[in-house]
Amino acid sequence: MECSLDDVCNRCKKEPCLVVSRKDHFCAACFKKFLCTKQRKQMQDEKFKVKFGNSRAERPRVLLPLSYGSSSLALFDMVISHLEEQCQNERAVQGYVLVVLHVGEDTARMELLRRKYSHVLEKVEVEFVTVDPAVFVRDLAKVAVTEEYAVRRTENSESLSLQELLLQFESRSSRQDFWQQAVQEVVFRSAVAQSCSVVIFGHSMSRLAEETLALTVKGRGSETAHRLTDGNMDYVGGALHVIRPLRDVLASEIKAYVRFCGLQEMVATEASVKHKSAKNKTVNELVREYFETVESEYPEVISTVVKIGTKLDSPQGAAQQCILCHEAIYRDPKTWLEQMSESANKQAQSDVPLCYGCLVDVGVGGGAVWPVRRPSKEEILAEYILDNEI
Amino acid sequence: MCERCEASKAVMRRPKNLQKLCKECFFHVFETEIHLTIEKEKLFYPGEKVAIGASGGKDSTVLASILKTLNERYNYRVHLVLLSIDEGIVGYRDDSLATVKRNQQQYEMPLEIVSYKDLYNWTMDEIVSCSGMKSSCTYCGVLRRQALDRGAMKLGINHVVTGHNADDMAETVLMNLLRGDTARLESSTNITTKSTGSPIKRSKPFKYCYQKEIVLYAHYKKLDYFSTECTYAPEAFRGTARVLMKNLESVRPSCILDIIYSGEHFKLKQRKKRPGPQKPAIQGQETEIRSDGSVSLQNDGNRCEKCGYLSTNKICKACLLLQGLESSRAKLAIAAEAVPKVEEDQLQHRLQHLSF
Repeated sequence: MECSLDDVCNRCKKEPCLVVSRKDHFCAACFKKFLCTKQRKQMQDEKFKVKFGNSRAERPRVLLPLSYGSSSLALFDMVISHLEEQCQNERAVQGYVLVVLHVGEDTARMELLRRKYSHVLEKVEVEFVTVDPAVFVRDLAKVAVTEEYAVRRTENSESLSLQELLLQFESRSSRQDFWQQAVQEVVFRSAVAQSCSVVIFGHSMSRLAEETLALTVKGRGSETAHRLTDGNMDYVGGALHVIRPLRDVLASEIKAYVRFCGLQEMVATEASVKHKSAKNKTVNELVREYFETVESEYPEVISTVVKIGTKLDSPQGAAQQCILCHEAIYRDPKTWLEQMSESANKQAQSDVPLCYGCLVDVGVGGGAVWPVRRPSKEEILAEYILDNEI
Repeated sequence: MCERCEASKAVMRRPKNLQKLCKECFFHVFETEIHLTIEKEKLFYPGEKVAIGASGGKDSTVLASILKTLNERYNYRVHLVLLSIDEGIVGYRDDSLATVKRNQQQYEMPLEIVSYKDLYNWTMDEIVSCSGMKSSCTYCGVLRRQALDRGAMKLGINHVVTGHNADDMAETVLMNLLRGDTARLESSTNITTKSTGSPIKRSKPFKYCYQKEIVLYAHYKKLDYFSTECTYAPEAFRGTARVLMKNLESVRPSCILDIIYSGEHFKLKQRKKRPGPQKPAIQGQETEIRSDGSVSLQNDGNRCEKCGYLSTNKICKACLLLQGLESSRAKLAIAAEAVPKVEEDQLQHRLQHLSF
């Protein structure tokens, strides 16, 4: 990625080159512009365009989940600059309202971010929201998998925190899988609560490749289309438009972008897993590491995996919904596992549907307490306690 | 104690579910599970002649042994034949074929050996010396597929079973994703595959069997198999996927089956068809004009014009690869005048195996 001091940016031919990406030499400004075009391209729909006159009411509310990772911070910067551009014309009104959401407890970092962008935030309409992931915990029940792969649901009277719920799973990988699901669920519920019709995730191309492969490894291959393809998705009776504007940008490019924007101090760095033994890593960490190692020798792998991921469709057929992750089940995992098991007991019936991925995470002969019902739209609107700080 | 019979001493933890089992129970469970797969998928019909693709390695040796056992136990009434391919790799295939020949005696099955040399007039050793180690697996894979079909056809057999196990299947699913191979993505986890127009079907009774269990079965049954890796290293990129699988298995032991479960669900989006200009087709007068300007002479259009083997293109992949080889062989012949080709190959092999 680095280049020598004598190189000049290939785009403006003036500034010194600071980064080499896709075999092209860029200065900081041109590189930022290059990546921003990619974000604008994914958000070129009519509904995001600048509005004039009385069309204020038609402006969509766009939710940007901010984890304080490099990607979501970079996307935040790009979207803010997009809105700033839209407001340059005095008669124009910004095309959409941005709602920045952080699922977590880190309010200090959000304050820091708002101060850093204060000069722009005076001009554009942006809302900031922090939601405690604990709101995810409700309607708990115990779901157990018997040795015969039958799923049993029993009532639960204990009150457990999200942290305690996660600690029920022995492997870090299962814990991470359920944590990710909890956060995503809170994001979508917040979208409903905040009346947002669009959700923009900061997933980079590298992240999408990682997710595609990791979903396959977790037995969730059928969910690839639903989870990773952009477009409309049904959620509690309404439609949410999900977009990943950075799907054409590599993680390494985002890193450079964050550096050029001086956003490094905002990034919440994750604990490095490099020195952990393979046994203590999660499926996602192993897959990420795999892509990082093959990237230099086989640079096309990441885009290839993302491309084939977008070509996947959801399988056909009537599907049941998993009680834990709410994803569709196309083939009963119990019947599938029984066909290759000598000791199968086909008489044992399941009480509730559980998808294959969750069944493996819970473990045969194991059980876990977990929220088993997704609240309705009315419940979300009525019960969600949100720290609104506009 | 064995968790199943609770009578004998457990000797192993079953890799699939970590159940503690005695030797006899493991044999029973492993064999029955393969029988279940065969039953469920209706792999055989009574009186069917089935060729076992036998390399002498652990998978195919266990396959031959188990199919013989199950055929007798459950009375499938199938006729089993061993079919081996001699790729012509000195120091590897010649030794493994010796194993197959012993298996032939042990299992009392007829054996047919088809060699690359007879079919294509090339041995793998010659191909590698000509085109290098890097693409060896490409050549070998394409040629072997055809050789197996041709061998089966020669024996009047329409069904070839191979020893591909769950680990192989999972690796293929990952490789298809990593290579973006849409043509193979949907069908790579099928237990039985058959090309359109081909009389020969292939199936993989070990689709759900862990490689580790196959090794354990061979070990406890004291089966006679050949365990040396091919002289030509596997393709480097596949190697990276293998390492990833190993690491994944250590954090998620079920990942092999999980990947197969995912693979069975992969479905590609329907391609949007562009409405092109539609001309009324006049029957019997249709002539296909290919992109290179040549005209197809055959109406079904799916046969290789050179060898008659199934092919979507004018010339099948095997003929195409061989054509490329032939052109480079001609060049080599001038340089190799001093040392005859065969001697050169042998010399090269000896050099490879030299140790100090």
